[in-house]
Amino acid sequence: MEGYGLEIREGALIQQIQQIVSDQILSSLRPDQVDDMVVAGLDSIGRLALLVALENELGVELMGADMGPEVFQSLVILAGFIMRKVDG
Amino acid sequence: MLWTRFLTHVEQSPDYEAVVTSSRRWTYGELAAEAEVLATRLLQEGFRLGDSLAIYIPNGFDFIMTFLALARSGFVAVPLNVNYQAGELRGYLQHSGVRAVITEEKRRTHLEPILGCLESPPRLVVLEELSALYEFPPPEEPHACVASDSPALRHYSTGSTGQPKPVVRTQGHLMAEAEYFARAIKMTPDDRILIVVPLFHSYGLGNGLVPALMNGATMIVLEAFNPREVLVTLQQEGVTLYLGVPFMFKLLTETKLNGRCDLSKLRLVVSAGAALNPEVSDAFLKRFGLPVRQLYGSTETGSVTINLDSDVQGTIGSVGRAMPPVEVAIFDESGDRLPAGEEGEIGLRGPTMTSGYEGLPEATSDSFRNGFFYPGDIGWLDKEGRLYITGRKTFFINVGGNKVDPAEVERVVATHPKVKEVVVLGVKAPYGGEMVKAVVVASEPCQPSEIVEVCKGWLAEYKVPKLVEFRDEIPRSPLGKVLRKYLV
Repeated sequence: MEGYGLEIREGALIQQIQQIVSDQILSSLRPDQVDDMVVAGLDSIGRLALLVALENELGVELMGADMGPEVFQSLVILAGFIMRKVDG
Repeated sequence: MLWTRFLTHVEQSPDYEAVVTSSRRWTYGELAAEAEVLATRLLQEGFRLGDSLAIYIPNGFDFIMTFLALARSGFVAVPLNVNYQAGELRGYLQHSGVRAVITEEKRRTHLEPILGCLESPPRLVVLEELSALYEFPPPEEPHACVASDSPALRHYSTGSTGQPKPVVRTQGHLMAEAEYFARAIKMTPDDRILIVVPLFHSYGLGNGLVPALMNGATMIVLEAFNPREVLVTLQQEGVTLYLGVPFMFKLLTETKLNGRCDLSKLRLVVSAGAALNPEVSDAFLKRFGLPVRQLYGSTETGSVTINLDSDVQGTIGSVGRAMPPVEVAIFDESGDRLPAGEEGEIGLRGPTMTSGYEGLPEATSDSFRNGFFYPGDIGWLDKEGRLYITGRKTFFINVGGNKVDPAEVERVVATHPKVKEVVVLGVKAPYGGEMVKAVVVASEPCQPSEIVEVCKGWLAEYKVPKLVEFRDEIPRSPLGKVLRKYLV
């Protein structure tokens, strides 16, 4: 995860997630409209699409057995999950 | 019938691989032995030829073995979507009149309270429990004579009025579909088929499970779609045939894999359930060197066409030609056949087709006319018989290949006390297909989350609105018809 290392700031990551959801998943929403409810409301296809997009943006593998719906309960939880993956 | 044909492969090659999952491999001999034991135990439990038994099991060996056991004894399999919420399950179980629900131990706690709410609850048959009841192999029970016209499967077709329509297909229908499909794609016992589309659906069952068993091929089964796991499995298992739906192909082309992705064994990739975006098809071809072939069918007929044209680019928008002897024709509004090149309503007929909706004579006469079934699609045929689909007559929403009836979602949203009026429709999803949108007129201040929450309790995840928009009123024509185009 070049350019991010171990010092990802949660806020920056959340903004990136909001931008990806707005660009690639729910294009009728502005990034600032992508809140916890929107992320928690993604269906299995939307969740996979978000993970693939995040993997491609961040260069880290996210899809695995531990990526259940609970990871998408909120933006903070999702950002935390990604940071743990980055930390290895 | 199904069982007899399956047995020819068991006898010829008992040690040949039949089913592969992430945890185990089963040979044809092992699959036959387990299915035989379950079929016999179900007879010992008092079930008889023609009884309907629900299968509430996700993709995997247990689903395949249970389906085969039911076919063995002439029971009618009623596969249920394991993602259904309690309300949906109650509805299907109530309607289908099944005598039992076959499931796994881990789903018992979910099912028991649902069954407890039914007037005449079906029995719960837990596979692990049934095995434990008998210390020794069960004695042989006489199996009834299963014929070509014995009902084998009851699926539910999405209705246009919020009421799913029961579709019963016989062993003969399923075998005919498997035969025509296998012939078209030249399936052999050397084929290794990756099945990640749901087996409870007519696509996974009719184009994966049944043709594989009828032709002695190997099924590699994944419980859920994960693009990286699929790419790894395609390579490691030397998969020759992959069945998917459009969103899967989009994600497969976008998923990175460490090292080279060698899919040299893969000879055929099939997409169904929704129209495949040509850009996705191009991207897949570019990355993996193989075109995605479109297949078309319905719950009522099984698969009917497939595009195997050598001119891939020239026919990219087509779902292909009919698989003989199935017939596809185009009709005008008065029911007359239209010539090649003219757009009209698509009609299908052939030996794979059910005769109508069980217990619904009106819906049957609407959709089954003059020997044809009309799935509600609009399209045209070219001079060589290739079918192009251009639209639908009805308002179904296609979410990743799952059909959603807006009326069903509207009924649930309308139960919220703050909702005065609601219209549900499909809007384009950036990752392919559509997503569900609810346009709500509220009687008092209301949040989108409140609408989503009420739906989550009653509807499967893919039916829950992803977008909720509040409006002061629903736009209507002077005659009161909802003007959906202003709601997208």
